[in-house]
Amino acid sequence: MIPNRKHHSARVYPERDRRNAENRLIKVDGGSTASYDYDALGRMVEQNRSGAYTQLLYSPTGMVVETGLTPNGQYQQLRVPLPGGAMAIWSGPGGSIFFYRHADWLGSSRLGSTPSRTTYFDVAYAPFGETYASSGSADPAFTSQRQDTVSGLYDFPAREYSIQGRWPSPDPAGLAAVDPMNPQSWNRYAYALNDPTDLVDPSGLGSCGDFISCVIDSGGPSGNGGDIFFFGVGSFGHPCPHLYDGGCYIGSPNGGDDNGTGRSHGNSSGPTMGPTPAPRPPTIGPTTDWSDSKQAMCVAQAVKAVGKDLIFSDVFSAVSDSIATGSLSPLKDLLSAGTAVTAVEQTADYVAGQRVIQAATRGFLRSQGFRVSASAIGRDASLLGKWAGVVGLALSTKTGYDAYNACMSN
Amino acid sequence: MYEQLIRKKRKHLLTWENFGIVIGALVALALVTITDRRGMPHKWHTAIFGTIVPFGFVMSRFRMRWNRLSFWAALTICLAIHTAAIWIFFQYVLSNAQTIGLLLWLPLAFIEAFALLVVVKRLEEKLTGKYESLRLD
Repeated sequence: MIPNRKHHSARVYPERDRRNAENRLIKVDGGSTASYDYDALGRMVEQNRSGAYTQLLYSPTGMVVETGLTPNGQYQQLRVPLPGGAMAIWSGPGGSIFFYRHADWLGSSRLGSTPSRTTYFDVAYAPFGETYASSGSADPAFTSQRQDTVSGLYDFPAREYSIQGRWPSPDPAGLAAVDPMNPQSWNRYAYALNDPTDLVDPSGLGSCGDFISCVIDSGGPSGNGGDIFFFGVGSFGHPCPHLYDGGCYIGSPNGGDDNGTGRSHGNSSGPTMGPTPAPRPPTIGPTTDWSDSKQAMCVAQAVKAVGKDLIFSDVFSAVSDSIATGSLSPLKDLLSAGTAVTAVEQTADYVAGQRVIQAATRGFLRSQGFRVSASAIGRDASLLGKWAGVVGLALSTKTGYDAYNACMSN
Repeated sequence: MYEQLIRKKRKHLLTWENFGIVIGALVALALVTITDRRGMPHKWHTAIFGTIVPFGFVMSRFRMRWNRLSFWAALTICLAIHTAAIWIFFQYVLSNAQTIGLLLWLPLAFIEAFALLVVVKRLEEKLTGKYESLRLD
């Protein structure tokens, strides 16, 4: 474990950086160094560096495949992923230079080779991504993230990463990124839980194991679980807990939040748009997966619907809200309605149990020409209770079933 | 021997009662399905519950009179009046309510059930012109 590193900005004035409403960097040093444009999915699509425009083209899996598109269509670099984290690169205008990048266990390119089996470049990385001992035309890519934008800043999809060993901007998830059980996650500027030789942070939103297990084994850039290159489909994407100012990335998955802890929940289900639920507060101890599932939510809704149908809407809402929020305050609303229910129950018990009531009922029926015994009154009450119970149960079951189905199909 | 006959008769009655209750529940389910499909509020579940329970009880209690036309006529009149009253109550009096708890209606259903025993008997007497004592056991 490597201790926190202090931020010493060697480049510019980070306080002059400008961000858009989604907290994405749009101007570096107030625009004097670079400015950026993003597409609807939150991906950087154009860079303007002192008037030199570079456009980025993404593959369907979200990986940058072309950079530096010019008006006449020539690219500056074309990247084709290969097995094992390697990559074929056509570089230079029109792809005049061709070489292969070879990745280490973190996905960092340590070696470039040419088709004629000669070394194109060689570079080494310090734990936090600083390069050293480079030779040849070094093209550094730390954990497969390159420095397309500004030298010294790796372009992670969600955040720029400084070679100073920390994020210049905090984890946008806020407190949701914090795992109380892991003090390393308390620093929202820390990279990969300050364990950069074991963990990678492919999106800039949460760390996971090494490059091979995170990317290659989980399906690779084109796989469902291995898209590390941006927060599209993949287990690294951070959905709603990792928000920018309360809004969710367009294109972020609905599942797969790992809160920077390496724990992932749920599955991704494709792009979503619009507002999303508020982030959950951090929890201590293991999480119960089923209780977070849609099925659990629908069962709760079904129970709520049954209770609403069976008892009284306000009463059951107050009880269920109290349970859901863990607060007793909604129960205050229960007072009047709860008293009514209690009164009904007590009245029913009184009627069933008091011989006086039985005698009165019997007397009333006798006066109307019925010959009825006290035991017959009890049996009648029992029969009536059976009717009410069975019919009520049938209706409640249907209500619950309908609510569950409606919830699951929603 | 007599005890055995009584036990057999009660078992027979119990089977019929349970069968009737199941039929009543199915009828209630069918009605509720119809109201749901029409998008009517859930309060109508209670209205159906408040109809099926007392009338089902009266029908099962008066099983020995099922062969009398006057009984069915009296029951139909009561059902018509009850339905009209329930309709007015739920449609107009409780026009703003969306849900009314089944259990809240239960005491009313109990009272109505015993009242129906008397009303149906009285109506039957009016229809036939004959007064008779009825044994409930």
